[in-house]
Amino acid sequence: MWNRVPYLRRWARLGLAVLLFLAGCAGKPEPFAQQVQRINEASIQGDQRLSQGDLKRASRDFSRALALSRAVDYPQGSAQQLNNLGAVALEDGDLKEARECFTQAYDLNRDLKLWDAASINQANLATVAQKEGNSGSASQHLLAAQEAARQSRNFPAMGRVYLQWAGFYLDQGDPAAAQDMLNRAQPLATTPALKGTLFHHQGRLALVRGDTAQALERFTLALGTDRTILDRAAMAGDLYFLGEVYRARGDLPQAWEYYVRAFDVYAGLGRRSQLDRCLKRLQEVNRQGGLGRSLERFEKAAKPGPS
Amino acid sequence: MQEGFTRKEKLVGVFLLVLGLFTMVTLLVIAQGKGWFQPQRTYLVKFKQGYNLRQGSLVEMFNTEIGKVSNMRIVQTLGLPQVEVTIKVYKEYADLIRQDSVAEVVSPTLIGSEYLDISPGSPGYPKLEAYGTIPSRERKSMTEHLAELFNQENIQKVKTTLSNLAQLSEQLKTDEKAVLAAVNHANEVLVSLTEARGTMGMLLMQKDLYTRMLQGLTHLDQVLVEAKNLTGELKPMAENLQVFTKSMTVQVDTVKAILADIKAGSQDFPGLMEAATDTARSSKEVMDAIKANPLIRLTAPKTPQSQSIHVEPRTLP
Repeated sequence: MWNRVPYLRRWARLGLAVLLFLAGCAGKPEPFAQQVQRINEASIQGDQRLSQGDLKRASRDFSRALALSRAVDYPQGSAQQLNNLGAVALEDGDLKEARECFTQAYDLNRDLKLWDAASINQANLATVAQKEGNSGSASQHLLAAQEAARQSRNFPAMGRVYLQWAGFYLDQGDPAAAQDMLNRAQPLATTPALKGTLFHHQGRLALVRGDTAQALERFTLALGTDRTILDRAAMAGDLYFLGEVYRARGDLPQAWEYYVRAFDVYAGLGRRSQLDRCLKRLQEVNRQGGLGRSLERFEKAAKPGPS
Repeated sequence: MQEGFTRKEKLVGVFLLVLGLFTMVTLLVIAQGKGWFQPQRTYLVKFKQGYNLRQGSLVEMFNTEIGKVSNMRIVQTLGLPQVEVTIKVYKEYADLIRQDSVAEVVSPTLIGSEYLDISPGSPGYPKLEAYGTIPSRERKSMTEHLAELFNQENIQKVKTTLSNLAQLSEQLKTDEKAVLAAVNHANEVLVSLTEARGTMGMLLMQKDLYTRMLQGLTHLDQVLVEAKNLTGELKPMAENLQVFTKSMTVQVDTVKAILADIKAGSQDFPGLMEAATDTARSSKEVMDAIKANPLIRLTAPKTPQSQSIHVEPRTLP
């Protein structure tokens, strides 16, 4: 006869053990960890809003995260939020404020010996200098970013700096130097964001050299990679350059399609200067190709609002 | 003959066991969040009345929650009925309650409910044992506040003021003779005027003045006739104004009704806010406890870590 007692006892013991384990392990997180979690949440929210082009709310979220970081003496968080506030100011066109924030963030990260984050701060300062048209200062900041990345011993950090060097040289019209930097960056670009940037710059280099087939392949790869991480600004850049490739090939209807797609993504991000560039290209392609498309929608969207 | 559970019976048994386990785990998680397992110490506080305290009302020190009211009952102490409030204070804060601590019921300014505030004891005083009675301070009523207002000092001030007034009255009586002399002099001046003596009297008594006044009055009559004509033109406007005023009155009545509705609604608002705050707080506690549970933590999606943003624009040509 099958004895039920041992069978039930075994299940009861198992259940009791599970209960004791859960009850014993359950507990409230530490108050400091809770605050760090809050800072993290506010920062992520700000990041999302920045990627959506909602600069006002992004700034509010980062400022809140900064205030919380300072209130609980969390310098790592303060440095991160200062950097992110600098990114918002940069998007807003306030280069002075952006430089101030990035510099403060760099000083903090350097004191904390957080070289990976310090490298990002210097790379961002290089972008500010580039926007100011000061290429000498930009290269100085990129050198500092490279040194910080070297000290961090982080491969993706090094890859990030090499890729920014490549973009810098492409803007300066020096394809040979850009090629060198891309070769260095290739084995280090391990994250989707870096891969997207690598493909994008490779596409730009191919376009400069007149190899439209290679450029088309690279930009298509860049668009696919940027889409997986929903980096909308990067996607818009890829779409714009795909339009450039088709324009170079003389396929103006196809170029029109890509410029339209780039325009719509930039419009979603609220980037007015890029909208103007796209509109200019749309007007050119429409005229050169005799496409006869209506530009009313684009002109209306690119027009500065009453605010 | 071999007897035992069938496969179906075993499945039902396992299902019931799992269900029981799940219920127990949920209860444990909620209890953890609610702080039911937190060690507490019980104290008593006595008041003349309950001051709207309730079971579950907060016990605070330095505006921070340190426990809750667990029970309230009316007891007879030395023949006098008193409200005995039993409070449970988290053990980590129990050391702050000493023999010179004082408990007082505090009312919220606008939103919230009454809570019990306990002042921290001085380090020189011994700690209060569990189930000890914390000395209390009664909340002052309106009559007590009024009694403070009408105290001996204020009454004395009123008395002094009245005495000053009496002195002033006496002084006025003394000056009465001077006033009478002035009145007599004024009388003499009036007699001179009526007898047309002096420059003023002659001016007053000359008939030319009356003639000129009559002419002036005739002219005034003409002006009044013209004014009447003008008034006739103003009448339709005044009627329009009346209609407008009536319409305004109706609008004002509507606004009054709306304001009355808002007022009535606003009386419920603090209660609603209180309920919402309590619910939100409880939910957060439960959620925190659930999140802290390793089983949930392991299976829940991992929160991404925020990072410094790298701004590398894809520059457009």
